[in-house]
Amino acid sequence: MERLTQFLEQQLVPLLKPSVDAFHALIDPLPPSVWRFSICAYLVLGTIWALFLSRDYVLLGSPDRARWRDLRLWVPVLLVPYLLIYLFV
Amino acid sequence: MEAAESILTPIDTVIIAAYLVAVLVLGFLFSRYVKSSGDFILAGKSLPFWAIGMSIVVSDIGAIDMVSGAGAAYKYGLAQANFDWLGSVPAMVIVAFVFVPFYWRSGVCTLPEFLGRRYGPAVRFFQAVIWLGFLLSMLAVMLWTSAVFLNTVLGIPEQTAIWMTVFVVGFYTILGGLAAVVVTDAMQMVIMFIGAGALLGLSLWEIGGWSDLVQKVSAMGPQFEQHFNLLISSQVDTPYPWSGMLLGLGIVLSTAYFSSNQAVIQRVLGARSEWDAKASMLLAAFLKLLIPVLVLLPGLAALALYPELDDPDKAVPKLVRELLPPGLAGLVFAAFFAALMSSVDSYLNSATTIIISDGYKPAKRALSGKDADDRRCLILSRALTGVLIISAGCLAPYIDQFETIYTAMQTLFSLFQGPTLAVLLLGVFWRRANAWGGFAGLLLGVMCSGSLSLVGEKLFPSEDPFLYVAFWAFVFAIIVTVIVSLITPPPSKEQTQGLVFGEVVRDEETQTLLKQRIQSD
Repeated sequence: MERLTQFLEQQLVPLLKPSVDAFHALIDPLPPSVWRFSICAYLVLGTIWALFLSRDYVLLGSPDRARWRDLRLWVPVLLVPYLLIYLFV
Repeated sequence: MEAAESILTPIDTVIIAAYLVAVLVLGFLFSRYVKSSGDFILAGKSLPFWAIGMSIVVSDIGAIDMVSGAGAAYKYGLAQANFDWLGSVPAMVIVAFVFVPFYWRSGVCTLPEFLGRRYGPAVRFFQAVIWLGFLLSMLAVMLWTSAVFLNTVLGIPEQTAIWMTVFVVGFYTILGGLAAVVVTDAMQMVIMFIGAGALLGLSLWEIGGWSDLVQKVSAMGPQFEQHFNLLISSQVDTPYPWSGMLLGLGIVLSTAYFSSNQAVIQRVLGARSEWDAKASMLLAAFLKLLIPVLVLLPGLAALALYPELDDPDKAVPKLVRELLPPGLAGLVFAAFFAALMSSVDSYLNSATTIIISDGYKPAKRALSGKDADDRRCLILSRALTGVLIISAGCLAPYIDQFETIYTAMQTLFSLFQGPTLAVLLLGVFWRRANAWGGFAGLLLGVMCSGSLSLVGEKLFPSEDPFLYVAFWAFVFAIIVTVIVSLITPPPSKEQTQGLVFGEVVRDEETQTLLKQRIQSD
């Protein structure tokens, strides 16, 4: 395993290091507000996507069509606490 | 860790014994309903969403998390909570609305089965071996962690603790199958939440409340500055940088975990309807909100109360020994057993399913040209469950060579999660992906993960770069699968029929075909 690690360090690291460093040079200096925004945007996009699904699709297999069984409505309820956490903690 | 004298009073022992007996009785009661291998593996498709949701949460949060998760919070702080928060949503929402209906309608039982139908037997075999290895090693890790904990806090010899767990979990899992596993899990979640909540409450009481906790830890020095930050700069030397959390955990590892983990897939396929299957994922995502509060905050509380601990994994055992009064200690230990057993039973049941569905059944069909006899499958499933748990018990004492159990688990997990997600996504959404592409993507992707893990410290700005490794291995596997698929012949329409998302979810002709196939199975 040591020889394999040595081989990879000699061959793979010099090959990949410039690209990896360039990526981190771009992303690492970003301020905390951008971190929070990126993660919240990821959560909000998931919510919006779920809200656009068809009612028939999310209700398939449901024993009735009661409003509370509409799983699209569960998503914002579920995601709001997570959004609050990532906005304020 | 050194063995200690038991802190349990007779009342604690009675509580733990009553709990263990209740679990055994439940397992025995459920054995009556297991008449076929379908009952054993998929609970006869009878499970309600609330039981599955609770079961998914406790299967995911085991005894390892109660000890090592709190230990990681002691060492690294609140950033550890991302594994349950960012690591649950939106992955669980995506899985609920994309993968659950897909698996449900395509009639597959395991991820290797789907990948086998989509990419051929080589990918199926490779995936089955990977998952089996992971599940078995996880079983051994869980048994060993728990044995160390019980030895430290109660003075129970490690071998005795391992074989006690093997007996109890083996008993109800062999008899009751998935139904017993899920129902005991639901009960275990309630006990786990009460026990962990009691430990957290007492810890905070001892410190003087949340603000005193923050004040005490922050005053401990500059190395604890990041302890209450959920997101940590990528420029700080930490295994949990924010960019790694978003790319590696939020996008790759969490989606891979919930869309491909056999323990999760099996539960949702055991639901009584497709709606229950989807709802169970969303309920589980909501319950996961509480896990860091119950599991990680005791680790931070231990840091404020006992900052001198040489091993972070001793945080919870120390709190248990020092703070719990008679009666409550029994409850917390019952919670610990609940967390342990709910994870062990899930991995055990899943490993059995993979061997039967992806090993025995295809082998029987290939060798004799006939489908496996259902009665024989049930007997074999039960026997295998026994063999696997005993094997894990034998393997457990050799697991302690890992430096930090939790990190070892995550590193192992990240090696094949990225490539698996890549071939799964392309297989589900891109009809052009073919057997050569899938096989090359998976094999080279895992090799990429392994190589990056070996040189990760030299390549990435993190002391343990498993999050970046997972992300880049995912990207690499996608590229390889696409390129190899494009330079080799496309799959025929027959080869992909009923295996691509658009068809499975929208095409009525395909849906009728799939329903017929499921009924005949």
